Amino acid sequence: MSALQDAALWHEPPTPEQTRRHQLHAGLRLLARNRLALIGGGISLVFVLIGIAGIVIIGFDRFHDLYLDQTLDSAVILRAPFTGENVLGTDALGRDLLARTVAGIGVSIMLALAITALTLILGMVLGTVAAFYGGWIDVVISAVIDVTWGFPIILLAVALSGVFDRGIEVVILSVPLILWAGFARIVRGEGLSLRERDFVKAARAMGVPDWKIILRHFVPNLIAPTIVMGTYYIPVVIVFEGALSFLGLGTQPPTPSLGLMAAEGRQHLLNGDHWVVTVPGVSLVLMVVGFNTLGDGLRDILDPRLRGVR
Amino acid sequence: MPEAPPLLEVHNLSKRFPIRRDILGRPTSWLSAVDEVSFTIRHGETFSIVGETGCGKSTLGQLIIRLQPADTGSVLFDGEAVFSSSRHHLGQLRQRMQLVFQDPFSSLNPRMKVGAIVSEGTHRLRLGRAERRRRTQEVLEMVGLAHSYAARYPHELSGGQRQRVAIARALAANPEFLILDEPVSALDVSIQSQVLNLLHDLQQELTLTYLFISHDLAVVRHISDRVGVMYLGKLVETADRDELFGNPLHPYTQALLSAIPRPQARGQHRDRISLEGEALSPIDPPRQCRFASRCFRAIDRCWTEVPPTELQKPEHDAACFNIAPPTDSNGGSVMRE
Amino acid sequence: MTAGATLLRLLDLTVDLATEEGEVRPVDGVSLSVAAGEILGLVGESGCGKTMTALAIMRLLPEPGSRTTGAVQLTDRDLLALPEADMRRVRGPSISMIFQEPMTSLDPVFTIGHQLTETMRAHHKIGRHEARNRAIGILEQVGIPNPAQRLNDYPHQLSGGMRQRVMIAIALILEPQLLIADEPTTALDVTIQAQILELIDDLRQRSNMSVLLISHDLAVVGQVAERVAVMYAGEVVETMPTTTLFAAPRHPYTQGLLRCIPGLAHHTGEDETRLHVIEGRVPELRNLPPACRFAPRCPYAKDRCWNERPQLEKVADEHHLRCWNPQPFHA
Ligand SMILES: Nc1ncnc2c1ncn2[C@@H]1O[C@H](COP(=O)(O)OP(=O)(O)OP(=O)(O)O)[C@@H](O)[C@H]1O
Ligand SMILES: Nc1ncnc2c1ncn2[C@@H]1O[C@H](COP(=O)(O)OP(=O)(O)OP(=O)(O)O)[C@@H](O)[C@H]1O
Ligand code: SF4
Ligand SMILES: [Mg+2]
Ligand SMILES: [Mg+2]
Repeated sequence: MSALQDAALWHEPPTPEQTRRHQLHAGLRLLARNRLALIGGGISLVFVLIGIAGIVIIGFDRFHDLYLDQTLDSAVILRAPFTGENVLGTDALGRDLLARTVAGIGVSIMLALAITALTLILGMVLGTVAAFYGGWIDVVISAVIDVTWGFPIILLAVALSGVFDRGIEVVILSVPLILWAGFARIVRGEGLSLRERDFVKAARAMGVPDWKIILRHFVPNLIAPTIVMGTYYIPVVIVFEGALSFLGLGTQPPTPSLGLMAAEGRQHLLNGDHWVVTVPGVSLVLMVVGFNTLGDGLRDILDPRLRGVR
Repeated sequence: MPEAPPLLEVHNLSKRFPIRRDILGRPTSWLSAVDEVSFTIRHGETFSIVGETGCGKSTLGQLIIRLQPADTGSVLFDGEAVFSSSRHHLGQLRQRMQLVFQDPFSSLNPRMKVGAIVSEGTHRLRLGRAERRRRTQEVLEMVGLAHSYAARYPHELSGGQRQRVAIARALAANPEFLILDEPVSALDVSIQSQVLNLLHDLQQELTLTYLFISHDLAVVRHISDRVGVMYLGKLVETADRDELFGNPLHPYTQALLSAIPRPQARGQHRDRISLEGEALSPIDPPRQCRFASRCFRAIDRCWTEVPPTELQKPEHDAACFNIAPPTDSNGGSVMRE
Repeated sequence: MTAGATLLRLLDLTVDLATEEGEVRPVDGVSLSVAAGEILGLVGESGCGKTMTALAIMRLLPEPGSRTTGAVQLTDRDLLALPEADMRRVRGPSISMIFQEPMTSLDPVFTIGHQLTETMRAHHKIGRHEARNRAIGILEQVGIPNPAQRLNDYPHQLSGGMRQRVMIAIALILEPQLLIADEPTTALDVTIQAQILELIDDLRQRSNMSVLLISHDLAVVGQVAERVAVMYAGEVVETMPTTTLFAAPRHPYTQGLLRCIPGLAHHTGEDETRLHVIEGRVPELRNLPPACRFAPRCPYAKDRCWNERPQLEKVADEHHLRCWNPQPFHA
């Protein structure tokens, strides 16, 4: 009798190791087939790494000079890229553009991550609570979602900037205060169908407390939409921060911000010193395109149903 | 079976779902899913509910353990009122009654390992970590799964194994009473018999009482001690298994039994009672016998009154105005062969 | 058997599917024949390739992504060799199919009258009025009361049993020579199921149509089929007259399936409380046993069953078997 003839061998489903290997392969294959996700992921990863470098630059006093050091020495200001010791040239105040751009990317990404996290937490909590408890709780939360959803963020930002001092907190507050509604709506929808799933009913029938049901059965099953929506919100926040700063409502000088840098550089465009605008501008566009592409790719892989929801 | 005391007593249980609402949100239309259902299950027996799809079997099961609130009626479990008990007390009752769902694919959380799923069932027992692990292993063994399965995810199991996990989760709480909602309907016949045998063995070992919900008459006939037949929310007939299959009194039961496809070649079949007419809609049903529109023995009275459930013989209830034993060409005689 | 000449003959029909994990072969060397006016039952458990076989006959498998080899002969034509344009004329007038999911194969946005008349007008040059009359006629034939009014109903306004009847009506309206019915009653209640089976048998008798009746339920097939083919893991393991299926099947799998059915013990006087069990489970297509695919679950497997692939061979008149160690059946 050969080893194959052991009937028990055939009666077993695949072992966890086998399926995990299999899943890893399937996942990699999916990723490989989905070029979008791969390219977007690559670009995003590069920017995240640059962003970390940027935060380091801002964080350490020793590097401070790199992006704040102003020399009004006319020999150093508005130096074109690749002409001197500053690889990407200098701005109108003689500051190193590479260092400022790297720091600006750091600020953008840090803000984007924090704000996205806040948005997701708000949406997740309110969405699951509405779906799980239903009844009047759901009615109230749904009404708030409806009112909030689609409200122009810029309007809220302008209103808030009137109340508070202009500054970055305006950005922080207005974005999640509006964006959570879209995510909460998705979470609520998923939650409503989860609530009717038999495994949730089974947990309720066994008397498992509500918070445990939400933590064990709801949250893990909401990870896919969370990741997808998260990668959507990051570029939205980046663009928004850029736009606000460009308008002078967001990040205040001398903190480096890509939008602000572009705004400051505008007056030099006419003189032909375009790099002051193009270096931060192109970085911003590339970063946004990268995250957006990653978001689209992840959506196709993780949760095709979210197509067109946003 | 010797007369055992009742474990579960269900009285006049009813449930309606609001279907349509007016602009103020007040319901204008109701779907009657369970209507004035009463029955008793004795200690250690298997009581089956059979009926066609949508007749309210699952709703009935969920009403009993208060997974959905009932509109009217009461349930006594071991003498204690389930509906009026406090939240805390309900928790204790729920530990003694467990529910197994129809679909082993949707009743297990795909993101939890088998060990975690089963140990969720021990939740009420307030065990320590180590004890919970031991209990999980113990029940997995009871349902015939090696403890290495605790580390697997549901998608790494076959259909029959998943249903075993669902049964293990229910057993983990150490219950006395299991509501089995179509536990084998999603399984292939070769797997179905494995699970039915398991249920039978567990009942012997642990002296369990079953409420077995199914639409499959062959399975019901195999596993039950007593059987209740449901039609559109109504329990139309209740009797001992052999009495019901051998001597059905309600015309619906007679038609149902005559329609079972049996493992026989064509031509060897007895006459089937064919039901003409459309089934009544369960939405706002009129006050009449709900089966009248398809009944081959309907009389005038069936269209204007609701037939009450009456004792027709000892231990044999039926709700019908025109009770008659099965004739030779249909139902009974063949079922007795 | 009284039936006439062979209408459909499958020769070594094999389907290869490209999947994420590489190629699989859900149908492997299936050879079957259906005579004119005959009902052939095709039974087997979930995933054994019944639907794939049907779709291969209809040439409705996804392209690209699948490869069908062997032959599908309808009278004297090989359907696999036909250009797609000709094949389109075969679907409907020659072969039509009732699909497994009745809810998804009716279009929810059109009335059933529209769906019936469109089917007719796609194949025949007939006027609106005549098409309507024929539609009413066919609905009447499948037992739908008030057919003229029902024509204006949308699928969701019908009950499950009625919807299944409409599906059958659409499949029959072109008066096909062969009807493929894939689990036509699985979603239905037993009382309705009995009616639908009777209807199919009735239509066959009236119009000498042939039927390939696919089901996982031996008892359902037994109601109407004259002959039965049993499939396991993509292969036909036994074909025989229905009377033989219930009285003297020879393949261990067929026998096991039959013994698993609850209720049989009542007839055979075995221990009533325990059911027969086929140990183990259906193998995965990606990981099939080396020779006989049933060997890991077979109580009668010998060394040969693991080493050499059994072929479908004739053991009696109309009785074919794929097994190295056939068993007498003690019912
Ligand atoms: N939450 C609900 N809201 C509205 N109607 C419901 C709800 N739950 C069930 N129903 C309806 O109540 C009736 C009974 O449903 P139930 O699920 O109890 O039937 P069942 O006998 O278990 O059917 P099946 O055999 O298909 O599982 C059905 O008509 C169903 O559509
Ligand atoms: N698109 C697909 N890609 C890969 N494998 C498939 C695909 N569709 C079906 N299969 C596999 O082909 C095999 C045969 O499937 P098929 O649908 O023919 O089974 P069946 O006998 O009709 O089963 P059921 O009774 O469940 O309908 C199964 O193992 C199935 O997993
Ligand atoms: S060939 Fe062998 S293993 Fe296969 S069914 Fe026959 S006896 Fe069993
Ligand atoms: Mg149900
Ligand atoms: Mg199929």
